[in-house]
Amino acid sequence: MLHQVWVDVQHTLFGTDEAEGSRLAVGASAGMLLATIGAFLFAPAVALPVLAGFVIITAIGWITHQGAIARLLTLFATVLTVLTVFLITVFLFVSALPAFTEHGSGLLLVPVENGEPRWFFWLEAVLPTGETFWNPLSGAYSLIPAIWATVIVTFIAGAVAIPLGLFGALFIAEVADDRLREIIKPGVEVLAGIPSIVYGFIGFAVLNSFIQDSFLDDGASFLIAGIVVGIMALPTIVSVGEDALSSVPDAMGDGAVAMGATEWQKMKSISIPAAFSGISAAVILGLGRAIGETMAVAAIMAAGVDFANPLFDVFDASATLTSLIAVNYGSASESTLDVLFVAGVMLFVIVAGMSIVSQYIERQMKQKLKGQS
Amino acid sequence: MSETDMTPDTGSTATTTTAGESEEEARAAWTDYHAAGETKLSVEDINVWYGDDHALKNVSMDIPEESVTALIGPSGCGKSTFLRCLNRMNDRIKAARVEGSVEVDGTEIYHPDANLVELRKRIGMVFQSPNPFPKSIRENISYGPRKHGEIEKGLLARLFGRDDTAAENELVERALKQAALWDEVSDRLDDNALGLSGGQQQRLCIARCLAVDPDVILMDEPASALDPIATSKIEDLVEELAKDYTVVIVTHNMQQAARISDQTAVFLTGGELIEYDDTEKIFENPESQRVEDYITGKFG
Ligand SMILES: Nc1ncnc2c1ncn2[C@@H]1O[C@H](COP(=O)(O)OP(=O)(O)O)[C@@H](O)[C@H]1O
Ligand SMILES: [Mg+2]
Repeated sequence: MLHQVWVDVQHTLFGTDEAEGSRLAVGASAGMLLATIGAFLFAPAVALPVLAGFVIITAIGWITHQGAIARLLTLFATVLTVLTVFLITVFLFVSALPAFTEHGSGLLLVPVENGEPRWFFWLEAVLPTGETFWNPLSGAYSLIPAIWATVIVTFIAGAVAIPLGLFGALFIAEVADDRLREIIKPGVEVLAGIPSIVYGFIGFAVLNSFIQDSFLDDGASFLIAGIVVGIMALPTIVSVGEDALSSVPDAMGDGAVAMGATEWQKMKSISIPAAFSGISAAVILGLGRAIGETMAVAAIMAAGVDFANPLFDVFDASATLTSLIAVNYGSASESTLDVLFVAGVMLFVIVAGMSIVSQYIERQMKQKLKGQS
Repeated sequence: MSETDMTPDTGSTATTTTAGESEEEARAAWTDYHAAGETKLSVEDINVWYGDDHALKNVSMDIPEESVTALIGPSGCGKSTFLRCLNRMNDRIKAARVEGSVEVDGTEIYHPDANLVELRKRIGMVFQSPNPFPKSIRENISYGPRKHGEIEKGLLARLFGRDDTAAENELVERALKQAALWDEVSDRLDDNALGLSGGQQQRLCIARCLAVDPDVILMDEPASALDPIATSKIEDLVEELAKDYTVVIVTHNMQQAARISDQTAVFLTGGELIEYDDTEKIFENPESQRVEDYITGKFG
């Protein structure tokens, strides 16, 4: 057992094609690496010289035993990535702990109006209720309004992004000819890379003034934030959804058309169902990413914490979980900061959950199309 | 002929033209064949280009009904391209350009007003590798009739007082029996079709095609992806189908063509139809030396 572990470690570190002296090079490099980490943690003063030593030894190793050192570096990069993510997660949860213990279910306090708790999907019966739900000075920290704001914004975003994204993906995958596809597809991918603050700014400047000019004088609202987030999710949905549609074998569609199905019938009954799980994965991925986007929402609704009233009023406004963190982080007191970490934990759980679901669905799809090339 | 008349040219060019024409004439004679039966498909001077690549050159042939017509020839000679001309599947290939005429029962299918849905209902197609839909066996069979509005079922249909479940069951049974698949799958009609073996999948594709009630069935090397036993089942099926349908089958397997077809058309490299005649004649005593070389394995 222990022996097997040692064999595996050796295998990972040195590979199967080790050459004369590669063990020495890898060992020296790895040793210096550990020394560097140790120095950072316990003797920061000497950290830089040790790091320099690591770089020099690795550089020498790179010249003499490139294959072995490259293998070590890939391992190192992977460990570093996994470790970073792991530590951030631990840090997040540990930081949220004080607020959890201090406020407990008070973090989910349902607001009271006219002496009656507001209706919130019958949860008001089990959750604590209170007049003040957000007042850092008096220690009222309910995250319910921010959670609800996140839900509303996500729903509006979905209503915008899902139909548009699906049709966009269909157009690129099934309607456009090859030349057009070669232009549009990369274009969509570029859009997906635009920083969210740009979308937020456009959303605020264009949409907001349009709505104010045309039918409302109320400004920033869930509706605008949702539309902007939906537009942000759109390129991801189109591009991932298009991949899913394109991976449906042409032979299936040919079979349908050769039987007298129209192109649209073929899309409806063959392409979309066969790519269904991939398309759902695209939607979840796109929306999950958009939920995590902070700046666009913060730019539109820098407003304080407010519980939408009436519950489904899309023209109301409130900070979402993300914008709550972004807006308050700089100026927050110790205890507010702790609560923000709880908001962070909630976001983490929501987005990680969506990501897991989307990966699961994608695997289902591969299973379903197995046996077809 | 008229071209040479109009442009009388110098000696050398004239010689080549004459040589080309005599081969052309010979070819015209070798392909000028009319089978005993009624003509189902009449192809006149079909040409296909993929971009600048002239893939099919001046092919003309009459295909008789209720028989098996085999198309043979080395790979890349345009057999699939020719087959796709017959149900206008080439229309879906952006680079492809088709010129010429194909008549089904005397009706031009390249007429601007031709209805492609109706055409493809009458002329079914079976592909080289089995391509069942990722749906149940039952849904695969009823796919065509459903798309054509001949079978309506489900919640919406029932709301409108229509439920063709019984008709669907009948159709599924009929088509699967015709394709000699019923006994193997009758107890699992609602299983996913992708779970069937390759040979079963191909027979399902044939059944799916029969469910639409076509007159003509085009098959593009339907057995090339199958093992010998599955292949012989498909061959038996083809012979059986020829009693009621017009079958046009592409194959690169000459024994297969000899076994199952009534007439055979030989395409050779360059997209030309070289010889078209009774299968026996083609395999025993072809007119063209190139065809004989190809059939005896000296070429191709
Ligand atoms: N979709 C296509 N685009 C471009 N060229 C094609 C396409 N399909 C076939 N061709 C070309 O047309 C010629 C005939 O092909 P095909 O009809 O598939 O031959 P066969 O079925 O006899 O093997 C080949 O040279 C092939 O490269
Ligand atoms: Mg072919």
